Amino acid sequence: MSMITLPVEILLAICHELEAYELCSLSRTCRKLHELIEGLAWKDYLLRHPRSSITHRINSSPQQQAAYNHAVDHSWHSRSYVACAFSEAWHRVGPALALTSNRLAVGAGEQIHLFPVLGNSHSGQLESPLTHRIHARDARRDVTAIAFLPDGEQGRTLLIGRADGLVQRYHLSPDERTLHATARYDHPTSCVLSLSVVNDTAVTAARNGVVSFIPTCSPWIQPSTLQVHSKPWSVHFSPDRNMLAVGTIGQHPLNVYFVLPSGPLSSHRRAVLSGPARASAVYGITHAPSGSIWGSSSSQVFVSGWFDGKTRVHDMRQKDRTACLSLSDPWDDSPVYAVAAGGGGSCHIAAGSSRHGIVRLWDVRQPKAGWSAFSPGKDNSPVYSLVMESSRVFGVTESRAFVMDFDPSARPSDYPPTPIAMKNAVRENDQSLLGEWTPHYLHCMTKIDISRQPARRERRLA
Amino acid sequence: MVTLTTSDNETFTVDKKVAEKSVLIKNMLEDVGESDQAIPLPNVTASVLKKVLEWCEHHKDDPAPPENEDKDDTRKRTTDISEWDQKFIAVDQEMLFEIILAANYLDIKALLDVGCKTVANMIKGKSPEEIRKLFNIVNDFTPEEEAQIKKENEWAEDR
Repeated sequence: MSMITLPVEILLAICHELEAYELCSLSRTCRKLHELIEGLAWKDYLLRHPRSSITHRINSSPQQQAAYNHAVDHSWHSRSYVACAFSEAWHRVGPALALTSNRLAVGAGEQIHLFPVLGNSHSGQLESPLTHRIHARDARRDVTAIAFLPDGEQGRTLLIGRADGLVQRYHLSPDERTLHATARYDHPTSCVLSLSVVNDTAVTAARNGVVSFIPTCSPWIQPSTLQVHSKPWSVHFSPDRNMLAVGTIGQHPLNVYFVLPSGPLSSHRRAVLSGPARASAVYGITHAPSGSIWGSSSSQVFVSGWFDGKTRVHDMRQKDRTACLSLSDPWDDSPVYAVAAGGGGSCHIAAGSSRHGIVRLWDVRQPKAGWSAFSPGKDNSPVYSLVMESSRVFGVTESRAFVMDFDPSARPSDYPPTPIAMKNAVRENDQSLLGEWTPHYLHCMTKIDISRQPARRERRLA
Repeated sequence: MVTLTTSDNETFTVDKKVAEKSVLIKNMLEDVGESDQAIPLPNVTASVLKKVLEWCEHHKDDPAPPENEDKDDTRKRTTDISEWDQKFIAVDQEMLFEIILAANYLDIKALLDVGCKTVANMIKGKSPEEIRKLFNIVNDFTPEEEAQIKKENEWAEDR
């Protein structure tokens, strides 16, 4: 009786208990175990360690995917990243961001910038954008919310909400030259403050307090609505479509409404999630990414960004409605405008500060050891929107779109060049626009790290 | 009481509650109904069954695992083995694998888990050479293959 004579299902059950280092060692011992681990155990490993990837940056064997995740996690842990701005300054207030597997969309003012994301072999490179003007420049009609609608991985269908309350569906033509409206939804003539899409259901929040439930496939159906009593700054529809989190202002700014499968909302069935004792506001909400640390139903964990500068995590599976985790930057208590979750180990939370374009990052396994990075360009602007996937964070400020890329093989040249910004960077001796690095500081340190040399080292991928 | 017969024709008489820790025996009893006939277990020897029944006896009052088991792999998994189980499973490799096989055959999920975790703990932190030595695995790679596989699997080492 020897280990390798055990049946395959038992060997797999043993591998199920092992981490990457042991799987690598074991697969080097003999042919039989090598084949078993290459063929099956790495797939199981990836299922046990899911990553919140939106774009597909690597197309290879499960073992190589695991190696890639390992390298990316290491970059997150050592804070080595490429940070670069990839759009010229546009100076539009409150731009919005959306990402799908093959396209990044930025809505700024009257412009929609669409950046194609190259798949697989190019490791998620971003191409130069095509800019579409959807109406004449007019601040009263600015784009305030943007999201991709499901269209079978094509990334051509967008839902756009505007400051005048217009909510429209747009379709990108196959030659990618024109973006035309294909549907208009019934919506109050009040600024769309927030938008959350799950499958074919979009939830919008209008300035006048009307939260609409829009069936995006059926523009002729009247959206069901819910009235909240103050300005709904943010909405987030949980991916399991059971809960809707609404962030408003006042004494109890974060409420979760339970949604019935048939769609209509009941304003009486809600849970009030608690924050600070004083009146506050919630400007950004998201849900926890899938990953072992969050448990099996991560869509029941809400991450919210607050006026008092804290980022709170509420777990709906808990009986009491207090935050189970409260994250803050001790050096900056300005309000949080945007939140995102994912990143290395699928356990990072990012928060966009309302000042100086700061992005705060925490690994929830070490909530005290967070750090904050200035976004490229050092704009004195809020970070209005953030999207995080396993290897990078996209964000937008008043002036530009930027990325922090933790892929060990990423280069600033993976992103569209910004000649004007480069020129300014050279003239003003501002390195942060040239890519590679931005100033950042640790929350538990007393001094800002001003060393010129980024903590970046070449890492070879197997 | 339930009577069990092993492959080497030894009979064990145990409490029904103890025997029903095994889903295989539980289903058999449900199918056959009350009877005095011994249940044959042709894949298990007496020495192993004795050990398995010792485990069942100790764990007979544990709550049954939930019916519709959570299929989600991201669920929180307990990686610890209780102290009693650790002592119980501190046997030679031969016996350990026999217990794992028996637990698999008898469908005792919790015992199978303890066994697999024990093997996993033996592997933890070891180099390929140490693992080969531990489990008497013969290295059947050619030197070229070995070098190639080493290259492919080096990445997890710098943690």
